[in-house]
Amino acid sequence: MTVVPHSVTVVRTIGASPEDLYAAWTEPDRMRQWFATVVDADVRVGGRYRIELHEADGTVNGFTGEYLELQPPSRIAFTFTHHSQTPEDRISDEKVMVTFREVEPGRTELTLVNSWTGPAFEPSYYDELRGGWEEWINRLEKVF
Amino acid sequence: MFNRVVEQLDAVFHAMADPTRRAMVRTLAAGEQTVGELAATVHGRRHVCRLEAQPLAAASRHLRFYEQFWTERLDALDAFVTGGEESS
Repeated sequence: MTVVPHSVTVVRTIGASPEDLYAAWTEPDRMRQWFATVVDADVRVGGRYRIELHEADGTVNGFTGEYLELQPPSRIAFTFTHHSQTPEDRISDEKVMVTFREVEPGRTELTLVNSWTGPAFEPSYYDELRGGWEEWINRLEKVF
Repeated sequence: MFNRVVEQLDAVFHAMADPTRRAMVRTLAAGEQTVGELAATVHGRRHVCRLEAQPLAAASRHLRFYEQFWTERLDALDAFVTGGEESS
């Protein structure tokens, strides 16, 4: 089974300056107020972090990684690995890149790309994929 | 690797901006079709078209998990930075 690149991209325009958003992503005291319950982060290029998200149902999602790029106030990149991941998942090279672009004073477009390399799908996934496509097209049609 | 993903997404979003193409994708999602069935013009040979959904990999559990994860986190970020917690 081959591995191929995958990614999730989320774009959002938020009523804040790039400086405020950059601070929300890079200052542990602020990160604890929206990103994760537990934040232990050495915020510098090459520094490592560990975060835990305690969900209402008791689930804990934990991640660790390393900061790859810190360019205030426009760009942050870090590696990002879920604690439950095992070698059998064959997921590697997981990264998150966040960019901030001011569209007008006090409004910033945030683009987040979470990418990784992982197994390609087997034919049995295609029924599930079809549902995903239809949902995606429906969403697209609302956008255009 | 990353650039390839971005190029692929650019190509997909560009293609999907066209309503005719979206209709074709929806038809192909239901099963493979000949080009004739798809475009109503057949010249002898049968060209069979199939939706190659794999490059987008839209339904992997991993992808769905992260799609939901980041959407929820950005909702929380939006609420945090616009909810009176403005910095300096």
